[in-house]
Amino acid sequence: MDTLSITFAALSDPTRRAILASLTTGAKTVSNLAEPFDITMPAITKHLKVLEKAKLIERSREAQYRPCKLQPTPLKEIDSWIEKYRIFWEESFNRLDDYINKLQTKKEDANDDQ
Amino acid sequence: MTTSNMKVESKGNELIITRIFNAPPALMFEMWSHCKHLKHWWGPKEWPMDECSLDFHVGGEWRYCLRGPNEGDESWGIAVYKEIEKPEKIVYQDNFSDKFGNINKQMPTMVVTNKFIENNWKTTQVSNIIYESPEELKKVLDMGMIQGMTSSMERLDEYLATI
Repeated sequence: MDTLSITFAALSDPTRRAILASLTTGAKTVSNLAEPFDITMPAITKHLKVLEKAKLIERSREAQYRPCKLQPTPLKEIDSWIEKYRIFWEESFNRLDDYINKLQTKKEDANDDQ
Repeated sequence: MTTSNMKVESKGNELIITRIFNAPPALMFEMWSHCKHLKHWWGPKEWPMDECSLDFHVGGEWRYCLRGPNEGDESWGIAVYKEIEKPEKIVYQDNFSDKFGNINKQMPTMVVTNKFIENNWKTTQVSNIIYESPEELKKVLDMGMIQGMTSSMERLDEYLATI
């Protein structure tokens, strides 16, 4: 649930979506990524940090210019986000079933006592 | 035993969950309309409801907080009741929010319709849940961007495995 909201927040910005789109063709350096946008390098870096935190991209630690690479896992999750919520309902209703059975048993016990 | 009588249908952005409970509709209706009952079952096992307040009438709000297993894991929600027909129907719109009650517009909203149908001293509960994705997410989904990205990444992975 929590990762999903981080992914949603990261995807909510048009610049960040454009960055991801441009990474579909392969890894790029920060300056490559900044080129098509009319924004400063610190602004791009800030967007990259959000994407990195959401695990949508990975930045290489090896090379000095640290190229960015797309990470598909959170995107796959968001692709099936309704499936994720299905678990929420199934688990809640299992608990509801247990709770109702407990309530009914209690009521029967109380009736037996009378 | 707990999952055997549950039917889940999923089509597009809609989930329909049908389940038979061992209680009359009036009791089922109660389960959904009081915090003292909701706190026993609302939310996944690992994310139970920890805080709850509700004003059970059309236009009234149900505010709740689910807390997860790790320190600081919490998810706040605000539901607004749209239709209430005792004891057979409850419709509400549920939104993600922060703890101050500000709705999070980046997250999906969902419209939940619960119907309680009498069935031989039991209740068939039909929950129809429609998820509306936020506009921004809709754009991402509509662009086919996710499919495009994941499939190109998969191809890349497959290719890397061969070299």
